[in-house]
Amino acid sequence: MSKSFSRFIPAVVAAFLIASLVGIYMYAKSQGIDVLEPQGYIAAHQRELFMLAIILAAICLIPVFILTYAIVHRHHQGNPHATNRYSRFWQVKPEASVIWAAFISSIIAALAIVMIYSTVTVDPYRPLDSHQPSKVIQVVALPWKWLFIYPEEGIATINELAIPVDQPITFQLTADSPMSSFWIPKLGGMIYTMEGMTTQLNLVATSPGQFEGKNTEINGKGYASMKFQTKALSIQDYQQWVEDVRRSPQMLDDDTYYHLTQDSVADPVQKFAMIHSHNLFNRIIAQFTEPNAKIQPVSLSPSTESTSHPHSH
Amino acid sequence: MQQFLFGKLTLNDLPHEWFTLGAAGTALIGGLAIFIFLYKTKRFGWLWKEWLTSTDPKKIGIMYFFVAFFMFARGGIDALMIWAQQALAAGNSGYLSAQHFQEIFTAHGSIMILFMTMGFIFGLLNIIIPLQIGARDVASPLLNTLSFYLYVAGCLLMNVFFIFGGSFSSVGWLGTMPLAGIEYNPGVGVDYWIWAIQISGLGTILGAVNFIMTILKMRAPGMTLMKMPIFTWLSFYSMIMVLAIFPILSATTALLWFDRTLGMQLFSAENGGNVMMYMNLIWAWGHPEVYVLILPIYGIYSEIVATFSGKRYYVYKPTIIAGALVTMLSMLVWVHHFFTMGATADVNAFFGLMSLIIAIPTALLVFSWLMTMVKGKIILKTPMYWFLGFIATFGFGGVTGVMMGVPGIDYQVHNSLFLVAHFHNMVVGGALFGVFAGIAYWFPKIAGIRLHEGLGKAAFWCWLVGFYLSFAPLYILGLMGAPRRLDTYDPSTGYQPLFIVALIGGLIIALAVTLQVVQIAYSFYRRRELSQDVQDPWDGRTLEWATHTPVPSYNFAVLPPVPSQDPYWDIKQQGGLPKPVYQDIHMPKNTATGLYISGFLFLLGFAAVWHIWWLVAVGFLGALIIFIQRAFDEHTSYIIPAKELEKMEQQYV
Repeated sequence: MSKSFSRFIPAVVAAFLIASLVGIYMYAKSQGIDVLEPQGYIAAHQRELFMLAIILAAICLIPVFILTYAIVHRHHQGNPHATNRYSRFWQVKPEASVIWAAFISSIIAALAIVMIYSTVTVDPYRPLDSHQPSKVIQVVALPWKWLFIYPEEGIATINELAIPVDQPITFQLTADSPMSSFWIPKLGGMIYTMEGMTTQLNLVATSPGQFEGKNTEINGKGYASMKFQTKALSIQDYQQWVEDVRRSPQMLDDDTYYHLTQDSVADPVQKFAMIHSHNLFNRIIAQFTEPNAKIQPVSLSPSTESTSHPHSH
Repeated sequence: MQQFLFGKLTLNDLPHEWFTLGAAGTALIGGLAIFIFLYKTKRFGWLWKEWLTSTDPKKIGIMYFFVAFFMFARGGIDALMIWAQQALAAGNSGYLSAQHFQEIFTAHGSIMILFMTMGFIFGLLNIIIPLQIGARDVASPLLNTLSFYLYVAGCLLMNVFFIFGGSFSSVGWLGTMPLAGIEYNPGVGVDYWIWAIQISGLGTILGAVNFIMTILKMRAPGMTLMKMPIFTWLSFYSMIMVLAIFPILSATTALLWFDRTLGMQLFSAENGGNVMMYMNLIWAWGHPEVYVLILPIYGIYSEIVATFSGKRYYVYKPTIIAGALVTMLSMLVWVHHFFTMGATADVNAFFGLMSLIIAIPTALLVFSWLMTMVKGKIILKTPMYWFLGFIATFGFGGVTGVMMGVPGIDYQVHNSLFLVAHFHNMVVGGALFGVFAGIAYWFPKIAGIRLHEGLGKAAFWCWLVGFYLSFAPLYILGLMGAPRRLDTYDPSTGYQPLFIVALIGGLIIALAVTLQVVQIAYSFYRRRELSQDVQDPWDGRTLEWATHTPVPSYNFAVLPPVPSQDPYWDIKQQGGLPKPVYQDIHMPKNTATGLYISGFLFLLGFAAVWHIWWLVAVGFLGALIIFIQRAFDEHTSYIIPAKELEKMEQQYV
């Protein structure tokens, strides 16, 4: 390869990669970049954090790239001036590394301050500042679907979550399947769900819409299909949705719950007009923390007593 | 009776899927080809004496390279399968079942980190460290060959399911609980993973002990710690970290095995177990491990930058301190791998702070490299290309890592493809480019042949373009809300075009690897021209260049003087090495002990997976007996008399 041609390779490659990146970004924008186009209060905060971090990252990286390019250009063996400048044992004054260390440290310090503050404000467990009391929705990760229990309304759904806009939601989460991770990118960050334990996530939708929710922690074969739809609705639409669920012929009793704990993939949306057990969520957790507390269908248990009440001890 | 003899292993477990049959067939044909070649060329004895039982770290290092390359090919094929599946599976299940896909990425991660990168790094440590410190060998040649064969045993256990049955783990390269427990994964896959890691982990720990002793005790007289090359220093830190953290991995995987085999409930969701404990323990190992990988790589870049700029390495002492800071800080950041597991804000903020602070010594290292180049005479050969490629890619990985060190941001990108892009930026753009740089740099000394420059640069550009095309879309996909490890997705998500771009990047990478293989083959083909000037092709500063090429088994006939940090420059300035005064040299004999012990431990691992308890006992006793037999062996070394040494040296004059 002739020398003159190979000189242009870095520039050509750089141009190609930058063009590709722009193209990729523009395509993604046309599809919607959920994390950068939030529709929730927490997600909006997280987007600001992300943008700040990108700016700080650019402040660090761009000088490094420019410096690298300038140094290679200036001191390259092919550059006739480089030979004059060459000094085998030359060392930059120690002050230079002190200045560089101070520069990097101040950027890190700025980010650290923002980090500490934001870790508290977007803490999943932190109730949202609002006049309205938080609405509790209970979430159970099942293989490989999501169960949503609405304790206030006494209804439940599989793979469909509806919430009123501007209403703070406190999710209480647990699992009856291996460790999973509950994520609605447009509303806010994720939290793990674990058997025998409760985790919490506080989110609020700031505008109506339909968003995807997903699982990000591998939990078996059906992992990739463990998605759900989130509907942020106006208060009237939400009430209509509740009424619609109440018209469903299905009930959530122990039989139904037991069948839900069996492996299934790509489940359609299911709606349960009523939940027989008022503390179903706690009983699901108790399956792992108390002996003989497994929720069984009526047909499998020896007596009807053990299906409706966990054994007290 | 059948259960006693064969444990859980039955005829049904033998290979019967297309990929296990394919791999078994390939292994059979490949093995047969090698056997026939050795038979025809009557090289069995040569192979045994010159290579397999050698205690020469240079030979052991080259064997590490061969095995690591084989694992690289295996992990690379896994990667191509992942790229293809994700590009195809929009609204359908692709060409792989979900179970198989999960096994593939589990194997890919385990292999690339633990068996490919570690293999290449230990290969370089073996070849270069004794030479750089002016020693003749490592502290314990026996431990060295044992470490190598334990690594090979681990590699075999990772792949043996293709031939002898079962399937591999599908729970991710480190696993989670309770998914990796016996209830959710009753098959042998997780057990294969556990034993591969246990056995090779032992080899890694022994290797770390060996190199620490070597660096502390076997430097040439005159080489104080403050005159050691940077590569040796940073590798020293890495080995100290290995000693600190690998026991965590051994203990945690052992406890996992107890949960799975003895019915213990340490990491289970019920009966008093704690699934979060597994995450904590495994990542307390897992995070420092990535620094174990990257510190020697930083050392490689330091050597290359200084040599190809024709300059003394800048700010030696601050670099040593930065390395120590990275070593210590890396032990304090592990929770950032699971900020989203529900820790309170103060816990997450502390680990976030540590994750941010660790960026500072790393940035100082980058500055040191840049300042080393200033007022240099920079020669842009292939090793420097890899360094510049590293600056162009690792920087992005570093800043996205700092971003994810902010818990608020991490809550939105954890376990998404944004994370996958970040860590590939680090391990490919950082570690793998560094491995390639090191091989390109030291190849003339190791093989006595220079590598063809044009092919090297072509491979570099393909790697750079392929890498960006493959992982830039993943950053965007993560921000679009795509989780990692998806075997299928809905076309309405719009992910597919980006996965196709990633696949194109992957194919370009495959081209790059092909070019690298061609480069090596072609360089050997043209060895007549390319073996000129291989003793000191780059005007080296450090002692490994002060040897003959190819390097004799004893490295240095007479241990060289070490006037300064760049001892070979000093030697060249003084007109060469002083007139040699030959003395008798003590050299270790060949030994098959490492091979035999590892063979028995491989049997032990395989048997433990299948619950063939009598074979476990055989494996254990066999290893023990060989070990004891060796302990009583008094004839483990030989002497090269001074006269013979002088004769051997004459042939180089």
